Order: sequence, then C-alpha cells, then structure tokens
Amino acid sequence: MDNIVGQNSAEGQIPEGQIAEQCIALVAAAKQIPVEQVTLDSTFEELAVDSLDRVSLSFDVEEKYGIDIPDSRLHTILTVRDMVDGVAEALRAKAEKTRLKEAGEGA
Amino acid sequence: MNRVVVTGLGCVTAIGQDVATFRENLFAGKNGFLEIPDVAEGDLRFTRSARIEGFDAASLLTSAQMQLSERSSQFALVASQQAIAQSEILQAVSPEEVAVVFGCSAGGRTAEEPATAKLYTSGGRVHPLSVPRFMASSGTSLVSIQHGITGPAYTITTACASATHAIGQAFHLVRSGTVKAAVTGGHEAPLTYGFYKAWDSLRVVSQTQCRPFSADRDGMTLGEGAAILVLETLESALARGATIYGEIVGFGMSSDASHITQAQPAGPTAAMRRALQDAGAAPEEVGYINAHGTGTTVNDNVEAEAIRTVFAHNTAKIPVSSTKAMHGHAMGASGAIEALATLLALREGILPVTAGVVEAEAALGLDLIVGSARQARPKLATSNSFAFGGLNAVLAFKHYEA
Repeated sequence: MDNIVGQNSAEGQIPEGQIAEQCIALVAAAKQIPVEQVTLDSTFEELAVDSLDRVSLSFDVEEKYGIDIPDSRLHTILTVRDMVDGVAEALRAKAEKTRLKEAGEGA
Repeated sequence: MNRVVVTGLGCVTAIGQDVATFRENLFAGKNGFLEIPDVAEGDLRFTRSARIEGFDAASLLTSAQMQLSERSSQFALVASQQAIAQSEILQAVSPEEVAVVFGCSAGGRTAEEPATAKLYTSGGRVHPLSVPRFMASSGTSLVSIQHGITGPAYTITTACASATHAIGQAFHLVRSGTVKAAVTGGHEAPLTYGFYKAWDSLRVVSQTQCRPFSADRDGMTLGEGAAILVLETLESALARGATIYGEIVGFGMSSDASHITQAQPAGPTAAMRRALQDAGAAPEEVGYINAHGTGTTVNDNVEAEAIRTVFAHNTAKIPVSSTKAMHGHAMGASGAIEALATLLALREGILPVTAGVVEAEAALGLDLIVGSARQARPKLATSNSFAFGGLNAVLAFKHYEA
C-alpha cells in the first residue's frame, strides 16, 4: 500500500505513488521529453535539468501542492526521487503546521 | 568605410505578418486597426488599436522558445527568422562577425502585467521565468541564441525612436567594419490593459483613427509588431550575389533637451540635418520623407516645422507620408516598420499613402501623400523617429542600383 503523506484540502491525503507520477510528468513536460524517458532514478544531470529548470520545477510543485520547498532543501534535490521526497516532506510539514494551528485554535 | 546594404527583410505587423502581405497592404493604403477586445464600454476614450490578430507563435517557434518568451520577443524571433532566412547571411558570414541590435521600449509587458496584477490582488508566487520573459533585451538574447550569433548584441530603448536608434547603431557597426553583418530592427507588444489606460490618461490617442498631418487629426493609434533587417557590407553582398533591397547611407541623432513629452523643432531639425550630413547628401536630393507622423497635434506641427526648416524652399516638392496611418504606432518597433516601408518605397518606386487623410492641413506646408500611393522614383529617402523625451533619430536610405 502506498505511503500516505500530507493533506490535500480538496481530496484528502495524496499517495506517494501519485506524487511520483506527477513529478515525472512535470519533469517530462519541462524538458519536453516523453514520460517514459523519466524514472525515479533519473538524475537531473542526465535529463539536462539546469538551474533555471530546477527553480521552474520547484515553482510548479509549490503551486500544484500549495507547499513551500525551502532553499536549503532545493539545493539537495538532484534526482527525480529527491524531488518526490522533497514534495512529500513539504506536504508533511504543511500538514503538521495545519494540525498545530488547529490544536492552538482548539485550546 | 564600408557601404551598407540591406539583404534581408522580415516583419510581423498589423497589416501583414510577412513582408509580402505588409507590402500589399502598405501600397493599397489598408489600415490594420481593430476593435479592442475585453474592455468595458466607456472604460477607454478610444476603441481601436493596431493590434495583430491571428499571430500563431506556437506554430512558428519551438516549445522551448514559447516557454521562455512573451509576445514582444516572439515578434522578434519570427521576424528575424524571416529576415535571416531570406538573406542567407549565416551561410556566408561567421556568426561571431554578426551583431544583433534591436529597439524595444515597453519590454515584456504581456507577461509582466498579468503576473503583477495577480500578485497585487490575490498574492501568491511569481513564476521563475518571469524575469527572463520581462527583460526588454530578451528578444535580442533569444534571436542570438536561436541563430548562434555571437557578435555584439544589445537592445536600445529610446521610447518611440528605439528601433531607429538600433538600426542606426547597427549601420555604424557594419560601416566601420566592427562587424560584417547585423540583424537589426525593433519589436514591441505593449497592448495590455494597463498600457491602454496609461496612454488614455495622456489624452493623445485618437478616438477615431490616426490621421497624420490632417487638419482634423485627433491623435495616434496604438500598435504593436516587429520589423527586422539584415545589414551587410556592399562588398559582401556583391561577392555572394545576394539580393539587395536598398542601401543605408546616413544616420543622425539629437536630443531636444527640453521636455519629457512635448517635442521642440530644434531637435528634429538637427537630427534630420545630421542624417543628411552623414550621408553626404544635400537636402535637394531627398525625394521622400517617411515622417514620424503620429497624428497628434503637437508632433505633426513640430515635425512639419522641422521639415520646413531643413528643406526650406524645397519643402513643397518633397512627398511626405506617415505609414502609422496603416500599421499604427508600434512604439519601439515603429522606426523599423517605417524603415521597411521606406526601403520598399525606394525599391519599387511607389510612395505609400497617408491612409485615412482626405486633405493635409494646408498651414503645415507639406506635400502629404493622400488618396492613394504615388508613383515616383526618388533616389534618397529619410525616415524620422522623434521620441517622447526629445530623443530623435533619422535614417537616410538610398535606392540601390547595380
């Protein structure tokens, strides 16, 4: 079973497999290559994802999931798998923030 | 010094998205003015602009180019493709010996304005490609990248004279031998809601249509577009048997040093004189003037006065027209579109009409071409650009005969 991470306000939690699929689609669209050429193990170097592509992709996932990828984390994202992990972490951080806020409001 | 000729032409304008269509409409006196869409009735004092309809950038550019560019740069890319392909210059001249010099005044407004409006109203993020898309010099960079041109490349911004300054600079670069060829002109896509509103506030936009030098003129018609020329030395063009569309023989510049919007005759007078001086030509040799002719009361008065000063008793003998009456005022691209019109006029012996004008204001003392295009074979023609802020640029062109 998929590991469930984070919160999506409209559809509830997002399975990690779905994040992977969406990240692969975003990378393929950004580089204008078929999705089949992108795997979780693809490195940004071999896909020719340059620094401008990286900031554009981080914008894409931030907009898509309503998350923030910190600068410090962005620099460590070097593969598609890193990207998926980065999104999952950011979703967890977002969920935690929401939980704390709600707990605070409840108190 | 090298003689400099034009061996490639390209354009995307309201009266034609290629040179053949532009030429046909230019000589037919057909204007490209269309209703402005998506604006509430009464929101603007004017209802039409010379906007380009049906420009299908996606079919002409790669998806990577589409992602990195906005409308203004897309005009530059497409017009440059036409001009470079026609000239075949890059098959003959090494790319490090080619310059790219463009004029652009408004920058990437079509990308910047919606992004900024969203940010200021609903907040959120701004796309990371915004900066590369907004840069006024983006068109120059993208053209240089597409064609691998590695010589001097820069963008000039002098409001409505930008493209004329750019072509003049490129002319000097080729004439002096700094480069062997240049891709030059101007591109502009300023027709956003914010831009319309800003011009509306200045109260210089026609509520009907731009009628330059007409007694009943009531302002300019805003426009957009691009025109690109390929320049090279006469020697190189002859050696490779290139088609020569005309020769650039002079360039003159000046500043009014007077007012940020109101033109003064002394500046335009000096720029016209310097262009003729640079060409080594006497005023009597000029057989056609493509005027700046915006259609505002002030510009046309000041320009006519400057023409009378330069050409004195000869003034009434020199045919004048403003082709803005057809392609609109494309701001920083205007000078390039008018340079193209002037080159076609000299080459074909047809002087474009000032469309929409029934009769010139008699007091201006000009031989304005009205009614229809005129057959004539001038040897020398000038094209005027007088920008807001008093920045003036004038080019002199010669009909090329082998």
